[in-house]
Amino acid sequence: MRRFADLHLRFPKGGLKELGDMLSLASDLGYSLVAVSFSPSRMEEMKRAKALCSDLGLDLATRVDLEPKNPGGLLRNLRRLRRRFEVIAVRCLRKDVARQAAKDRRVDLLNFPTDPVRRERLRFDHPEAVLASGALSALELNASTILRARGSQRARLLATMRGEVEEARRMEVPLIFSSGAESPYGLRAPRDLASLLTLLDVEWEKALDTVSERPLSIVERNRERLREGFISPGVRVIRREGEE
Amino acid sequence: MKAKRRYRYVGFKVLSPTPLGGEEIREGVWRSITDLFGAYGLSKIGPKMIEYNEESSIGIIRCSHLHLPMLRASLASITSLRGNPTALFVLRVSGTLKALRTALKGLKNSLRTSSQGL
Repeated sequence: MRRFADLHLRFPKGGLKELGDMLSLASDLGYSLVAVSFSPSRMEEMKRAKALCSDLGLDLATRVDLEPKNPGGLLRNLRRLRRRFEVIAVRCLRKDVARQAAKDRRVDLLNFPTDPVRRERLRFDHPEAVLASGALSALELNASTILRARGSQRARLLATMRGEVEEARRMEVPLIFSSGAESPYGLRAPRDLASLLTLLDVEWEKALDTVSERPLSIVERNRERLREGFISPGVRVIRREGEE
Repeated sequence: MKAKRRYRYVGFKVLSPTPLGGEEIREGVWRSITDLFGAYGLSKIGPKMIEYNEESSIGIIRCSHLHLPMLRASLASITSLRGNPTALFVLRVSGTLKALRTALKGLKNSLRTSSQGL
């Protein structure tokens, strides 16, 4: 049976109570793992959210969204935060940041502007797809971006996103689809999310992968890397010299 | 000979801060379909509201079996009704109304959060 994951829940304005409602609803909707985006200064709230999730039988992955002003800023943030969070997403609001993020193996998700006009200019393009295919980063699309847009803006956005999906497919860059929810009303059931992705010409089975296998494998890979004794994939320290 | 039209019955639950009537839900769904797929899409999906229970906020819509993902996407893209934030979740899909009603009975307590009136 498929397990589902939503890798992008934003920390709600209503605080921990509202986050609790979101987590409870996510559990009811059939998700087995969710990632909540925390600010690095909110470590206490992160611990309490973990406790909430363990009561619900829901797996919580910690995520941070970086919004660097330049590639140097991105590198500094990655050095500081990579070992503290299970998922690192970069909001690519500049081309040079997008290129740096796409080629850096410490970045998990590439996120692009939600504004349709800005998105057209800063879209996930071929050079970024080439760089990302040689690294580990995946392209993340948010349902909230599609849901917020209206009328002709939505049509433009869907066209841009369809181009991004096609680029990712050509260069075999993994695609992740998340809700980007900021309240319980922004959440959608896993198969409902996948159905939104069919608007971007993604086949049904592949759309389901973007809300199940792909996000789960990213979290699994990072947890393995964050575990003590990790050297490289498949290699870890079992015992040190002189230890029993 | 004309092929028999096959349907899918979609059970859904509405999450909204204020109770909504069946007609409001129906209008919202139809509007969402025409926003996404136009009149042509609406004619292909062929939706029909079978029932809606205001107490449990659970309803059933019938659609053409070939266009189920289109209906699902339309339901998922509803974000507000009557000026209130709203979300629709598909609970179960079935080929027969009887099987769906049986399955939905077992899901009466599903989405506990929503029934607590967020």
